Amino acid sequence: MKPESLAFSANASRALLDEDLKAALSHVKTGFVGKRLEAISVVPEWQQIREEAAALKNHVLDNLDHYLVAYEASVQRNGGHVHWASDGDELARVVVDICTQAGARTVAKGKTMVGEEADVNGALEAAGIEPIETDLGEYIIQLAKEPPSHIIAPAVHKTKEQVADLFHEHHQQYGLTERLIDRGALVNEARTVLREKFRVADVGITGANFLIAETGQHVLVTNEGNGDLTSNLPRVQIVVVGIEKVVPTLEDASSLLRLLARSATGQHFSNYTSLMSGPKREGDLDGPDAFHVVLVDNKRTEMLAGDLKEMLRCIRCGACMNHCPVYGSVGGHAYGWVYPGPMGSVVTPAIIGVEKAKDLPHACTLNGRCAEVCPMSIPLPKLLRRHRQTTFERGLQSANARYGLGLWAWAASRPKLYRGLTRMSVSLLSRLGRRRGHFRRLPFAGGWTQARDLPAPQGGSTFMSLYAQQRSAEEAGQ
Amino acid sequence: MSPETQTTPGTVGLFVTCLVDLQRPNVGFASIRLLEAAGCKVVVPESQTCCGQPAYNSGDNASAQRIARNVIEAFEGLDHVVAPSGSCAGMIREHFPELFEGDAEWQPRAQALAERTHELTSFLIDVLGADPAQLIPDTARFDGIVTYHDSCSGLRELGIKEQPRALLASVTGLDLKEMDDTEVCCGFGGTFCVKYPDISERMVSDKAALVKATGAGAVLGGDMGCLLNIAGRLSRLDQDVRVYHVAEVLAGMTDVAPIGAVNNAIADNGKANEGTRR
Amino acid sequence: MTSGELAARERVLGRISAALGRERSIASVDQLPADVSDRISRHQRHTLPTIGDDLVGRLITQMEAVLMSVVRLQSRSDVVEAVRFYCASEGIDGPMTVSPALADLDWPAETGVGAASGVELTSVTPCLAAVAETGSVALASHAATPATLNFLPDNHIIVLYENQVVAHVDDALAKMRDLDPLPRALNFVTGPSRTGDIEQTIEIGAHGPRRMHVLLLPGDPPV
Ligand code: SF4
Repeated sequence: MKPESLAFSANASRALLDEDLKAALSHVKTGFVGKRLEAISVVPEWQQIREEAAALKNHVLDNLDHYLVAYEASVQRNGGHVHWASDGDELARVVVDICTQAGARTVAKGKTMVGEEADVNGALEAAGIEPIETDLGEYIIQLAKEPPSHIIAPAVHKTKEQVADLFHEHHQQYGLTERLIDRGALVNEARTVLREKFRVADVGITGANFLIAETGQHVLVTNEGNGDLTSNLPRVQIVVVGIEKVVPTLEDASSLLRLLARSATGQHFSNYTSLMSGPKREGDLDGPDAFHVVLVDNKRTEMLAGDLKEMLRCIRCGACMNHCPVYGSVGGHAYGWVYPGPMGSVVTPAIIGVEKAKDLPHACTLNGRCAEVCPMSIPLPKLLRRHRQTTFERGLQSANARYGLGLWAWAASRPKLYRGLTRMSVSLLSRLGRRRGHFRRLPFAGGWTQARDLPAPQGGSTFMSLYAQQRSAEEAGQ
Repeated sequence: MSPETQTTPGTVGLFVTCLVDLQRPNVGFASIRLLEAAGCKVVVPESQTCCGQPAYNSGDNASAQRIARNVIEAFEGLDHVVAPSGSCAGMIREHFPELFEGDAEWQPRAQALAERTHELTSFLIDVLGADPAQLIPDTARFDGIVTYHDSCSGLRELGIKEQPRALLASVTGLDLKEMDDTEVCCGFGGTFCVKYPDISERMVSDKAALVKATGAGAVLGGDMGCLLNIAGRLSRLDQDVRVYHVAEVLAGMTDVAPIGAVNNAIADNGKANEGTRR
Repeated sequence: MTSGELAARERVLGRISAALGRERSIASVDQLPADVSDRISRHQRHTLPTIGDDLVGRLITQMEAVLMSVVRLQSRSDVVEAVRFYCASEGIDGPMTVSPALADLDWPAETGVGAASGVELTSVTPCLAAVAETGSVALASHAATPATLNFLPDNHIIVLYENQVVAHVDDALAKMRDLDPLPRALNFVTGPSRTGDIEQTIEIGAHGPRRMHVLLLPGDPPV
């Protein structure tokens, strides 16, 4: 999709006025936050598992090429094909080529965030191939022609009334003319429509949560089972996946799975956790005839080389956004690209360029709740600060902010001058604010006073000068 | 007193913090009263200004370093540095050493300062092992239900959670009632609140609603930034909830108007106006 | 791989080795450094959650928590009757397909044997293992156990033997590792298909089975 992250501020402000969105976002807390806490509270070994997982991922990153080559060889041993793509365009091209060669007309898709990075759907459509999203959330937003607003709950911004309207509009062509409103009925209606799509799909495309170097298998996690239908029914299977997803062994994947389900949805294990590799074996009665994996770089090697390397530990569980008060206020679309929330504010500038997403690293209070819940212990605030440094160095912040900050920093490293300036302003402000105790409006403080009053300084002068007065009074009294 | 805590507290340099200096001198005096009650000798180095967070969090590391060097020089040689703020203490403890990574001269000095720097309530409880019942003066009386906002930096960088609560338990009349989501950010975030006022407004409104839902007559916290933000929002909403820094309550120094309420301060030698907002 | 893709492979591997400060990357798996191949073949486990000694008890609790029902049977010859009874009591009346691995049982004449065709309402399959840690069944695909039976029918009935119950996911994975050839698919299924995609409220039966029922037999499965 085309990035719109530059419009973050405007989009966020618009989102804040959307009452439907507010109602929908309130489900993030009830649906995810409490359940996660419950699920980890019954695992006393949680911290230990977490630490080992971060160490494991660090080890993989330090040997990334080795494990990828090992994975590739294992896939080939199982009869699969491995492709490489250095960016999103290459990924889209590889996928379209495989589909065209297979003579595909429809493609069933499981959720793939890497596919979103490269707009694989757009490329397929341009080649005359119809992509059908099969994850219910992805299907809903495909009908709405919207990007995902959450990495594991893509349609979290939609109320059930909005889903009902979409289904009513798009399902009439299948003879489903009644506008259903009950959640269960809506799920059922989508099931009916998508079953038929699965039946006719020539190719199935999914992402993958992990790649296992040892066995050449990829791990695919879903709750709906759509990923498995997508992988088992069509005659050609394609897996598109970022290069950072590889792990050495089955045991390593198992350990990360333990963190993933609990952090994402508060489940002990997701309903469907599948390991797959290669086409159908001799004698198999079902499964695809051909199996392809596309390993995608798309700036991941740049992150590996630079100071955002730790971000590559991410297992895309979504916990950071579920616990982010900014995400909870503005929702995912305001972030303007594929990945929202804290991880998105680190990843998006890294992939599309800081220039095109300069607001994202700043739109954060650095409260640290994301890093606290991140199962991979990714220091998200620290990584956001790294991006902030880049925006500062490249002069990407507003001139006002830069000028104001520069002036203040200049004074703050000159104690005597600073003392004088602060004394003057405090005395002025306390005189002006004496009657009410706060200001409703103040020049140069519009950002503050738009939402809240500015408390007036408590008293006449700064602490430093009051303290000095007190000291000299004491000394005189002795 | 636990074995690892000290017997002679020594000399404490008070890092006033710029917001206390400008906005709320009473918090500085309250901190001194508490530290002295705990047996410390308190000094206030005159050349201190600010910890440099605004620059650091804006990505201006060069300015942040300049300001940090000023702090390091101002407080070198003291036994401890104490700040009535989790975020400023966190800046010195967690980020100063990082800021000078690779700097052979300043990194060790930053590290040495970091190790001696503490947030006020954490210093009293964790370092001095003070007995709250002994420390809190009898004059510290605060009647009614209060609720406590956990400031993010203090909570997550320094593990400040139980310390202020342990101390508040010894204040006569005070009835602490926790709000929902007390660990969720209030939307201050330094420059964040003026750069993204709409988002900040939603966050602080949510916080104000949670405060209100407890039925508390006052909200306390350990960081002036959050307190100014919450007080400003409560005031804008005409909510009658008083806002104080925890040090003021612990030191029994709530005879001044709450944050953001009518100014009848020490400088006026005014008597406490009973804390109503207007 | 096309020549363009070969170039992409070189480019990506080259960027990785450059990022890691190495001169060049390995070209093929035979050049894998010893510590890496050792790491792969060691199969080292990470910290596992403690789950107690009563594996079968824990399994049943976990399965019921994710809405799977479990009944105990005395012997393999009870399976057909248990399936009939379950379908009758749940009001399931329609075509059924069973895995070829279970074809020797005395099924009603109209029962299908093979992969799912999409019309059956019910499937009956064996499994490789069941995991006490999570309440999952682990299903390995094979000519005698087609994977589509796990996903297409509305009702999935699984035949499980007590000695197939393992403690952790890692134990089930180890069992799969011993299969030769490696199955095309190993599916851990932990309760009926569900979705939270509409207002984060859980609904059952998004794509796969709406009901899962486990028939638990003593001892080991027949070889
Ligand atoms: S950054 Fe951490 S919490 Fe966020 S999605 Fe990635 S792994 Fe999950």
